[in-house]
Amino acid sequence: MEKDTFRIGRRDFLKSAIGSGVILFSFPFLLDCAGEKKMKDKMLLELLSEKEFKKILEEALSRGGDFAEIYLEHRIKTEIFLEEDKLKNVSYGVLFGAGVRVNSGEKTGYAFSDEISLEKVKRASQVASHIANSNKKLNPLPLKTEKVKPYFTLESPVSLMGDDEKINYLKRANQAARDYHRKIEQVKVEWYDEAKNIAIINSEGKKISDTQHLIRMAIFPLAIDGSKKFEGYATSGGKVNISYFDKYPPEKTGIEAARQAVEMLSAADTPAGSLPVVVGNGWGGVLIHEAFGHSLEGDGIRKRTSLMASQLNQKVASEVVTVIDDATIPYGRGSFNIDDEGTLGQNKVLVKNGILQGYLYDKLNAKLMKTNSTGNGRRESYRHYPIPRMTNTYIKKGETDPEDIIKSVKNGVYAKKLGGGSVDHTTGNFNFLIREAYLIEDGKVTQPVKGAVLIGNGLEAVKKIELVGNDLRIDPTTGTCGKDGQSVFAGVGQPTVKFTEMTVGGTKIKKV
Amino acid sequence: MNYLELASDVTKKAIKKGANESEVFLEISTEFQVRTRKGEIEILKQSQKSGLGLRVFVDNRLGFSYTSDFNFENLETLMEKTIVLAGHSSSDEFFGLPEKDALYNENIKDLKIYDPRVDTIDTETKIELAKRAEEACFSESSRIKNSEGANFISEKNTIIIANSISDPISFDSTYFYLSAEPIAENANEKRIGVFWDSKRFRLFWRILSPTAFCML
Repeated sequence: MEKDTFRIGRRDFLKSAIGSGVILFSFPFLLDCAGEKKMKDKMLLELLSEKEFKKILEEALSRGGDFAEIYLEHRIKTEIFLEEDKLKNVSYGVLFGAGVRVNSGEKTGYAFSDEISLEKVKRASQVASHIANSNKKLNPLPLKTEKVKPYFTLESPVSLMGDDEKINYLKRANQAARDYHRKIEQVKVEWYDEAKNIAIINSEGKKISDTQHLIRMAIFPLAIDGSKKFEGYATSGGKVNISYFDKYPPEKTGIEAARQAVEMLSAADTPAGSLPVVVGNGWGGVLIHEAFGHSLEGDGIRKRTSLMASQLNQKVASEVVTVIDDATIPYGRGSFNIDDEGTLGQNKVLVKNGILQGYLYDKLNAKLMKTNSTGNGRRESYRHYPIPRMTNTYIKKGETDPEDIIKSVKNGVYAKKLGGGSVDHTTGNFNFLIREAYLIEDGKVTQPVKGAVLIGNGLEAVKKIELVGNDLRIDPTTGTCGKDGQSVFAGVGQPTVKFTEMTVGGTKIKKV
Repeated sequence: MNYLELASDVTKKAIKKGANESEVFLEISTEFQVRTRKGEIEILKQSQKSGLGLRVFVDNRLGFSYTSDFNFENLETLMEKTIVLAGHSSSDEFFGLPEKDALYNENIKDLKIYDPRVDTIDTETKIELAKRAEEACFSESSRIKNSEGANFISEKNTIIIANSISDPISFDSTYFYLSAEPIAENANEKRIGVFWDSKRFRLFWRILSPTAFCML
């Protein structure tokens, strides 16, 4: 058994990694890092020496694998839950470990360790190495440290924020929602933040690290009027500076959620049938993400399980539709400087004026398809292997004024805010609840309606987009995408968009 | 590492650091996953993961933290942080550990959630089960032309619960999972079928043949 060798003291690492949050934790023995204001992703790379990383990679390739990778992660999360004017839960979590991946052709071997030491990570590499069975022996290339040029920097990230400050934001949002209207009888507020360091070392000589921060606050006010109840919902946050809350104070989010709850108390039944549908900007882009974007992910393309596999350079959407996946949007929920394989985040045009331009690749699928990674290799944590995932996916800004889009509809539905839904990623079939829906009558948004559901096929729906608004908004606050048992943060967006028709599920039959 | 001792130690130390009551929930899992596709192994994953959750009550206020890092310094930090967090939360007369006689004791019946044979299934058998499940789908219809693959997962979990009012306890559980996701194609149409089953005991493989997995 070889001795664990740390280049820096582990205690020093933990202190620095927690950053000045430590000051706010009020632990006297950690106050000595008061001057340390930022997390140090590079310190992950210092937990083992270059020689040790090389040894681990050699072990991983010892059975003939053609690619090996070490992924190191240290993540601190804080969750706060306020309900009934009380702080019901304030919790804190630490994830710390390493994953080792070995690829051999189309095969992947993966193992991880909850401890970053030579002994444990090497053992993981031995397990992962068993995926290969070949006499061919590849030597890892000499490691070369790459510097990340950030797309955006956070001068005052979440790790500088104290618990008291976070709790105060929740209380302010709670109070604003309660003060909005006498019918708001209950309010829940959730807070989540994380500060994550990652490092990637691979057999191609890559040695790179990055720090990522994220905040999300969600507010759920419940409006009650006799037997009628409706729970509003609004969110704020992103990969943002603390100063974000100066521009988007918690009161604003509380009021928006309360407005929705009160407004929907007067909602009538939804007409059912095939109707023109206008989907509001921002979070409405979840429909494109789920029902169309997943079909462009490189694993489904390589395995030809996606219907889009044979559609490159063909018309797949109406000519007013351009779809982009962009990891480089400042402060975006799905933004990053490097993906979880160390590839730089990129801005990719997937569909241009209705024509399919390309797909989303991680390293493995890109290699098998004889192309390059698009920086879309993502994973939930060091306990998971990377797979192709979207980042911030949106429909590009169009030319039409959103008011003119509404005016163009004689009888239809305005889906101001979508809710949750489900999608069959092979076929693109979807159904989505509309959280906030209104009728459009004679070109005007009129009556709020309840229980509306959008039903359709994503691959067909994008062909029925007739108008695209000039009010693009990319939602930095809400999306968490699930695939193959892994969840990652994702941004979605769009301008106001009109579908010529879509099946609307409701309780009232209406002729159109 | 003696996890029972570790859990017990953390609860005691949390009390010394200022908690009125404390509880540790510690989980150690050994997981094996194989995904085969078109008769070949696509993913092979094997790991042991562990995590510790600490709940403390201070004056009927709740603090909670969790970690995958069992290093001494981190656990010390975690305990102190959890007590600080409890200070932030609202007081609630119902916050606290259950009454001692409501906790686990030796009279509780065996729930049959642990199959000791989990360690006796060799890797080849696990791979073979996944392959057979997918192969059954391909042989069901000529329209099954593609596949997202088949998965076999086995897990062995040990749960340790220690608290400040009774002796620590531990129990084991197992989990077996088999799934197949064939894709039927017809001209320009594709339809995916997903079928899975999971059991606590490996015995179910004798009852349910993987050939039953083709449900398109």
